[in-house]
Amino acid sequence: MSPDTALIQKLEVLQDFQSKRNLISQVAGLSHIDLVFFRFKTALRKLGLQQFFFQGDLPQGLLNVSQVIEVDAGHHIFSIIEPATHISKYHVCPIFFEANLAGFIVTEKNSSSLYAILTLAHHLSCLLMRQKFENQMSRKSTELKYRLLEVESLIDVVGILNNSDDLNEEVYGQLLLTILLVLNASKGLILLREKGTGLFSVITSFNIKTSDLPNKVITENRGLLKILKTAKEGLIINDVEKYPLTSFANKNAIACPLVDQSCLVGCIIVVDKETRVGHVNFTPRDLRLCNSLGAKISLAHSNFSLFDSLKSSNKLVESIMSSVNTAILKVNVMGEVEYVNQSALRIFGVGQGDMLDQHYRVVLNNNPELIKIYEEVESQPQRTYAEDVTVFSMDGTPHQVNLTLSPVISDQSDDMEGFVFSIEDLSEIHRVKSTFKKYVSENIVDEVLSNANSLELGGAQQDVCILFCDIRGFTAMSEKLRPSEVVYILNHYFEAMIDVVFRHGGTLDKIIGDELMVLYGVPVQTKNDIDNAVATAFDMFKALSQFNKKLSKEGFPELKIGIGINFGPVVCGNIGSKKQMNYTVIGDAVNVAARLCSNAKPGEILISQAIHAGAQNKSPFTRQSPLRVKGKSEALEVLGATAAI
Amino acid sequence: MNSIIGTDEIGDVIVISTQGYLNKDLGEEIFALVEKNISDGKKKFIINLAQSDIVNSIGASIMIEIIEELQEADGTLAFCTLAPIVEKTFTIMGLTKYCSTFESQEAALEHMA
Repeated sequence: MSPDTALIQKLEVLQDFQSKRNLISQVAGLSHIDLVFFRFKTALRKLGLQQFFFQGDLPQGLLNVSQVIEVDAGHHIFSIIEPATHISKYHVCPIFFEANLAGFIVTEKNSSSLYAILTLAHHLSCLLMRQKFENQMSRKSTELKYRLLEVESLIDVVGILNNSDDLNEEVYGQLLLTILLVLNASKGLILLREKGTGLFSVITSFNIKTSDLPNKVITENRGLLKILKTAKEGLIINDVEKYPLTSFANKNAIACPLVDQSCLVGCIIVVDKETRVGHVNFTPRDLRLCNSLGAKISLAHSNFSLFDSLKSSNKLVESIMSSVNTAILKVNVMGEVEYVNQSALRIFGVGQGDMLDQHYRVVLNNNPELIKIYEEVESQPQRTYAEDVTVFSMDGTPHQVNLTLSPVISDQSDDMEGFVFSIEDLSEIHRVKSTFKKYVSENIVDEVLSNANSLELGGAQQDVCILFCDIRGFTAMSEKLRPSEVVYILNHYFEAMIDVVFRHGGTLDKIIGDELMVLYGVPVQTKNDIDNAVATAFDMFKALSQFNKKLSKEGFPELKIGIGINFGPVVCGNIGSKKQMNYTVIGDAVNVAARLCSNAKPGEILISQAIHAGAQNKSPFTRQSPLRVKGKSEALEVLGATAAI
Repeated sequence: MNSIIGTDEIGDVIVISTQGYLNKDLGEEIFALVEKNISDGKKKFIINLAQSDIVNSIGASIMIEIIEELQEADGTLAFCTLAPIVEKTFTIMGLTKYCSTFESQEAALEHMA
């Protein structure tokens, strides 16, 4: 047999060694080619070799292996010479693989055997090399699959966390399964710190009998959790029986802490790593992977905690913002509305969707005054206050407001973050004030609204001017009228009189039947209180004159009034109970004023000496007969004037 | 816990149903059952994993060994009602290249028929 291109090509095409061996045997005319190997038994089987001898089961007499090795020092083909005949009958070719003697090819000697045995040795070495690479590839492939599983597990963990609205029992269950899968662990559980008690409890477990689950109080102050609290990273536990939390393990365990802002909030425990041949110890690589997964879960726990806290804060802020009457509008640096509360929606008469994310020029389209104020503040950022500004809602309804516009500066960077409109709707205040003024003097309204203490029960003594005005003969007159007519006349009469009172700064104390009691000097004292009271009295007659003309036209009888005015010390303040109080005055000076009124003739004004002394214009008054008053030993000095009607 | 919860013979198909963790222990239990059935002349197997929502790589590699056994015996294996995470693990481990997976047992039986 000699080198033959066709033979070489045929050999190259054949994949398994047995076929090559058969072909060479056939071409070289060899009855048998024996193989003797010291190693690579598995590889040879995988190569499909069916007939070979392995050291130990070598046929007796065929080959003395120890002798061959000695001869083979030069790595050459050699012959075996039978000791009895000294005839060389066999060719022996050593097979080397990676510089190590793997075995021999032995064949009978003929003219073609040398080339045959060399060719076969070459092919066998190549096949062994290929087998080695295939094995390596297979191992690498398996390794890559495991790594891919690890990567996929990390992705799964991130996916589970990203797709969860809450870290609940179900989510922790999914996370535990993923961790068990990637670590090939047999069993596992996750402990979490309970809110409030600080105790730890099992939130999820897998493959652990209920009876094996920890049933004692678990705190971070002892045992495994104490170690994890200090270490803040996972650890491999080989002495599993030492800790109740790992006592259900057969081999060893990994315990990985869940940490939120340096605080131990939970723990993952997985036990008994599985392999095809049984449980083995977890490796540092497993620990590293578990730590990575634990860190991801810890981060998610922190985020959810922060999110919960943020939600609570937002809820609180929203609750506060919804409950205040002040409208709040936050505009960011882009000029877009970032926040708006219910009161602002009410004032502007729009829904939230109409304002949020809209530009302020759109939102304030029909409020050019607000736009002007905003743009002034934007150009020179400083808190600005504007009183009694008119804001128009979408449907054109005006609202009187007080406006505060404040720039918002970031705490961290000192950067401008936008502006906040704080709009105090005065409509309600105006309405209350307006209604209030129908019942009490504007003075009292202003005093009450401006001074919170004015609503406290109690009083103070001061000099006050008291005016009583009474309709003469009204009872007799009303008996001739229908009740509705009486009410009609009285309402219009009082309206006219009270207008006069308020015009002169009087405080309407009360209406008693057809009588008015008016005060000057409370709650705010002025130097003109007496003159104002006197002027009121004269103007009341003028107003009455006009009113009587109206009554006459309507066919009603004319009214006649008498007025009494006194000045003197009284106790004034809120008198009554906390639920029902009246701002009034009490004292002897009040009785005197009432008495003067009751003695005044129709069209007459009776004043006390004190009034006369204090009045700037004394000329209308003339001295009258002293007046006897009940409870007074001396008669009162009285002056009177007849109103020019 | 982790176990075979049913073995049904439907026509010439053996349907093995499991529950719990398809790990080494359950994998070997299934392997032994399949091996016994192969020796009894059965060749078609369906493994219903509806109640096994987790598998580890050891369990998956034992499934590959079952596939190899069945290839030797000229048999077939299919899986049905796999949880997504189980299907993903099977795919990564290369298992789905050698056998089919089905959404339901009915679909798997139809395929085997």
